[in-house]
Amino acid sequence: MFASVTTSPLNAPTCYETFTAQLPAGETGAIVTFTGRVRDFNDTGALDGIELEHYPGMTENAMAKLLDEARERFSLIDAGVVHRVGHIANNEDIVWVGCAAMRRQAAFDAAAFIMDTLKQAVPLWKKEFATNGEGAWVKPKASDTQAAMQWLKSDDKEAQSE
Amino acid sequence: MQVSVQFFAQLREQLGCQRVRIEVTDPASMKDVKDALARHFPDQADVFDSPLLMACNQQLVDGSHQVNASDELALFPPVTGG
Repeated sequence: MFASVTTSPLNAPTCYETFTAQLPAGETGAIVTFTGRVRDFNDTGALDGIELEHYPGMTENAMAKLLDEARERFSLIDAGVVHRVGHIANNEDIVWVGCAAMRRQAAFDAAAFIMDTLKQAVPLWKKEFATNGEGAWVKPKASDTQAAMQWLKSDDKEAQSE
Repeated sequence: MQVSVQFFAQLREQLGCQRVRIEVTDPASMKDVKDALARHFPDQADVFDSPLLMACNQQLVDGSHQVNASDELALFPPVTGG
């Protein structure tokens, strides 16, 4: 399992190789990966990169806790996440997530859970820059909150059924 | 007692500092710390009415959480990573 932040460009193939190299042989039947990338536009127009601020220490701990929750909840064999911080140019990768499980549904669900929850509980903040150099902090999206709330609701259902 | 509080992202920019030490009456909760910060920054007091997350020793906590002088405290806006 790895949960790290980096100021260097993310390399998804390297993340995948690192992740799969430490998987136990034999039992893994599904590997799902997710890569988040900087778009060159938002709702207000063209963008020229973003700045990612984080809370050193807490970010890594919060991501590690998230992976532990995902492993437990979806019976994962392993999970990993790398988040880039600092200045990130258009078309560069922001975040990489990998989930390994015996079967594909658990791996798909775990990757979605990690991303939905990361956007609510890990201290990272995005500032987008317009092409004129003006920066604006990104506001949380209602759709992101709803996505995370869905996982909490399914927690409630599981608790009620126990 | 004196406590140290860190700020991040737009809150850090709005307050113009990364960290501040303030006096709060012992015992104090995170809400007491937040109220003391609003008094410490009277010109920006309204930012403390906006939705902010609070962390104590790098764990998210709510306003009722009791704090100690040695705790690492932080206030920040809702997160937007990923």
